[in-house]
Amino acid sequence: MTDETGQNTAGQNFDSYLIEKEPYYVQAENEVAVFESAYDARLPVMLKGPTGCGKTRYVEYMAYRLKRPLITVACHEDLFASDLIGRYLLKSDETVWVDGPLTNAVRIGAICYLDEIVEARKDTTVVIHPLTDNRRTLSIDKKGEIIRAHKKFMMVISYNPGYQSVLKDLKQSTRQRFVALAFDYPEAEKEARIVSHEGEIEMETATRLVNLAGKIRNIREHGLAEGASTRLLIYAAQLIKRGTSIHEACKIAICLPITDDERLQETLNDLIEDIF
Amino acid sequence: MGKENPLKLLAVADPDLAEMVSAGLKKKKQPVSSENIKMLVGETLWGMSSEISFGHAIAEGYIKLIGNINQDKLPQYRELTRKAGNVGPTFGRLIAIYLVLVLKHGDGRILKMFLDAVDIMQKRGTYTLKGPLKSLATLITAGDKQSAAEYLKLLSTTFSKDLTYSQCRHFSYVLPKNVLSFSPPKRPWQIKELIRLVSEDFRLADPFLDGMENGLYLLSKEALCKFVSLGLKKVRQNIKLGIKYLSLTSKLGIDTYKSMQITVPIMQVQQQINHYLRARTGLMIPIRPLSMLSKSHGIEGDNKTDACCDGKSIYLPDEISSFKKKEENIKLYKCLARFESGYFEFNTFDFDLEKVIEKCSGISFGVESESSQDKISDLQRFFLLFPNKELASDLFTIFEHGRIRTLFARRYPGLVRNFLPMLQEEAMRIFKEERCVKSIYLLYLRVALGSFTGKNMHADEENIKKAAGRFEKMIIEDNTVEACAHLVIDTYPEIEAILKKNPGGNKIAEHYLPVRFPFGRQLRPDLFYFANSNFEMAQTIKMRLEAKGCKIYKSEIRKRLEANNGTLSPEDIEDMIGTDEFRGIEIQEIIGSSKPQTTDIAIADTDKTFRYKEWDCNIQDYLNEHVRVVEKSLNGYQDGYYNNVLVQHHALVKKIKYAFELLKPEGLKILRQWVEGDEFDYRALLDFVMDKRAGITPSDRLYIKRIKEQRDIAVLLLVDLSRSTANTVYGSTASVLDIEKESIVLFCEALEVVGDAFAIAGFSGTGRLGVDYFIIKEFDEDMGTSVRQRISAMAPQRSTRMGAAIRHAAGKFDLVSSKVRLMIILSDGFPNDVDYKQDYAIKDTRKAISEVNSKNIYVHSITVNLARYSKLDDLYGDVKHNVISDVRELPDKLLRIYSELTR
Repeated sequence: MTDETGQNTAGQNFDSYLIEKEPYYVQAENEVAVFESAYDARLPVMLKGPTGCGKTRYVEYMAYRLKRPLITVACHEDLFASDLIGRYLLKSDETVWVDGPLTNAVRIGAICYLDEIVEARKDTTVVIHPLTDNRRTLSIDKKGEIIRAHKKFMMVISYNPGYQSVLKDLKQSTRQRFVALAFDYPEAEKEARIVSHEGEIEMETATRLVNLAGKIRNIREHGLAEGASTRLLIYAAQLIKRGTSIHEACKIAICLPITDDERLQETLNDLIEDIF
Repeated sequence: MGKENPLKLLAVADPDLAEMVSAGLKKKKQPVSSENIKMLVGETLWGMSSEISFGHAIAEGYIKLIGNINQDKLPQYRELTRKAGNVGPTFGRLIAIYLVLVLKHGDGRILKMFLDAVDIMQKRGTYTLKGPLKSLATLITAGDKQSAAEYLKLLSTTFSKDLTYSQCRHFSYVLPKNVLSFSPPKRPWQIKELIRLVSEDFRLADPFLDGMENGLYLLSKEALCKFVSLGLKKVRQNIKLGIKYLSLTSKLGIDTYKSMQITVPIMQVQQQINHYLRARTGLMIPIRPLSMLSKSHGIEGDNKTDACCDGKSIYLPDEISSFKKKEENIKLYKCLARFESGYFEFNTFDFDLEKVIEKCSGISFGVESESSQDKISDLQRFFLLFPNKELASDLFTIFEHGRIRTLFARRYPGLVRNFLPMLQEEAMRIFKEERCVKSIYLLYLRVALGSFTGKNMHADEENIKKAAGRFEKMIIEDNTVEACAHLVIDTYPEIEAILKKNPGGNKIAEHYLPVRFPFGRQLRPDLFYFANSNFEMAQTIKMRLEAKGCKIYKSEIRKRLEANNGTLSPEDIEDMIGTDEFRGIEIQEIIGSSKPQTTDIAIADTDKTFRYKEWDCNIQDYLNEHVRVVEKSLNGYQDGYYNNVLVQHHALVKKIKYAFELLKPEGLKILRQWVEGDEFDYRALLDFVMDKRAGITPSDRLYIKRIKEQRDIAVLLLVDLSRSTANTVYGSTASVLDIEKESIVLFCEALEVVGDAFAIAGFSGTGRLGVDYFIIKEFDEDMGTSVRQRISAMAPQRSTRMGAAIRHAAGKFDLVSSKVRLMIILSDGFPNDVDYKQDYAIKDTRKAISEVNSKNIYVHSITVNLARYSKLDDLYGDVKHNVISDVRELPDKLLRIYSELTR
């Protein structure tokens, strides 16, 4: 019954996890070809990079290109193995097994994307180990079942190395199961194109927003955990498009989110005043 | 006796003194009358009969006075020294010394005040006079008569109060010290306010002086007067509250002061401007007070300059009070910093005369004299090519300011919109109110500031228009600094012709009045040469390369040298000339041998001595057993330092303890109502049954989950104890290490709360065989008295051989079982030691860090008080370090960083 339920769920889910519309993605280097090769060889992929630089968008874009469903799990410190694998639930007088997102992805041959993997507890991340080596299996202890991964299943994880906690780092045993792609903010011209497209604003304003972000990234050591992300620039652009003044949009979409330090805020406001 | 030379008589009594007197008298322009000599000798002998030093003081006094004051004042000197001598020789000597200055530089009014004050103070005891009179002499010698008069009034007022012996001693020390610390232009009215307070109650002097130190010195004359009046009112109501108000320790006092403060000191804006410049330009351009200019360059800053830069730092006024509003004064700081930073961002200092000469082929330059090649920058050499270098320099500044304005307008329109008007207004004021060469000023207004003065204002309008047009055309085609030099070459003859039309124009060199730029923003290539030591080396390398047939600009070599801290590698040379055809030997010839001499210190190996390898980037291999680290224990002493810091920062300690208490894990965390877990939650089970019987769909959250939570962290704080940590922090009396030590105390307190295992060590040393590793606290040691004493004993030592210290510190982790191991390096700069500099040191340190990383030890660095740090990423890796440019923030930030790292 459980298997049947799982299969049914999988069957229904395949389409709902497919990405129908092509996500906008500007290739920085040759990461698209690299991903395709990794997919072809069924190698798990690790994406490293600062927040908001386009890692998730890249995975969405690749899922679209490869026409595979994408199941994303945002990891957090209370994420247990059962949250990934699945659990028994009570329904009327019965216990019913419900697949977790990872099991689901393994069954339907989806791309399973574990976002910010370092946030998850270390004992949780080990469940992916047998899936990310040549075994490609998932063990469900509760059911005493070992599932062989769908031949098109692929595992992608991401994390942010700039996150400075020494307690949150990947174990070598986890790291060494992945091929890694390093992401950074796109180069200025490409970033401006992205901001202009996503925020639907003209290139000149987008270029100035990117210029501002570049300057903010110069003072990373001074208390900013990270520079202004491309995502924040897009938010600012979207506000500008909807009539918010440039200064106001930059302040609320870029300055206020990245730091609480009043003096840094003042520096950022000075930059905005000068650039626009 | 009457016919005998009086000096002979003196020689009998004291031959040395007689010789000194005779030499002093010989130096006089006018011959000294025999009456005066007689008076000098007679009085000296009289003084000596009382005490020898008194006699000497009298003799010196007469030598200084004779010929320098009116003859009729000499008997006055005699009378007053006699009177004082009769009271006692010590008092007499003081009067003999200091009365000289009053008679020489002061007037009748000051003399009267001097005598009154001295009379009052002498009644209190001669011991009260020495310090105050010494500082009076400083004021009088500096020509600050107004302050001297007020100061004398202050002394009279204070010492006429009913003071005890210790109060007299206190004031005779405190008053001179503080009066001299007041800023000279503000000193007279600041003393006046002090007098008002002392007249009311002498107990108000100390709180006021504390208040001055805390910020009252920034108030304007009117504001300080108002503040003191309010203070006096408060004192009359309640003296305790009044004292707190005056010393700026009450909220009312601080609020009132803040509402009145108009003057902005550089300290208030320095850090923010530094951050801003770092962000905007990507360069680290330190902001420094103008008063430091003379210290760093041995050059006196002139009063007309408010802002200048030397290619490394920007110098701004120590304080600004030009406007009536504080915000406007802050804005002026920002404005000056922004425009000065344009020189850095748009490469003004990369000016290369050779490029100019190439661009202007066909134009003949005047013959450059040989001596002009020495010790001057290319820009100065360029100005020397013109008959009037001041005119050339002004024209260049005009076009360069124009170039920077144009580039700013393209990149930062907001900057130009917000700040250019400040410069324009000041320029217009100078144009209208001050003496200036109108035609050149019009060109400045038009080109540099983009402002127009209106039609038909000047007869030379057409010529100015032509030059400005030429600038606008040129800047579109070529916006390099050399283009400005080209413009100077084109414009100079026209401007010279205009100047020649003026009266006295034939002698431009004599009559030329240099342009007074707003806020004195003249380009200072002279400062640039002083601050940058790589000119000569760049010239030498250029000549060596040219001898081998390679063409390269000096500015490019200099830039590369600048980036590499004054050294070049073979790769740099190949990269610059774009070829790798030179053999190793040839490249070495070009670079020159720069391997420093090694200093080996003969110290016997002991049990506490360890040998470590070192990475030599030149041979790309390790030098085995190359460095010797000597482990030393600091001898602490009981001085209550640790507890004093805790008392001083009690509020912060409380806050830190609370924050770290939150970091502490609870041990076993129980999660209730989970959908799966270790055992049933019986309360939830009961609910389940009841819900079921009641026909309600029961919750499936029936389990309890137990999670073991523990912090298993060991951290070692490795503190750089190099000589530079003795430097005083700007705006404070503490040294860098003093503040680092305070941070260490707070760090210990915090770690005690959270329970992480921690160790502290310092390092320094000289040479590869003398690296000292000072143990402050080992991992297995308790935070006892001895550790506290060792923290107190930490003191600046010698150099920084960082790689060896890191390797040694890593060994300390072998003894701890913690899974997470963290090493925090607290330093104030780059590694530097004998035979261990720049790239070599950086690469060895980086190597040591990777070795340590491979042992599962995380290394994080905190660098304080560092002005330029473009290479910190090379040293520690891009996400493994923090920079705290203002070390005073360290106590707070160190713990914040630690909690972020281990959260």
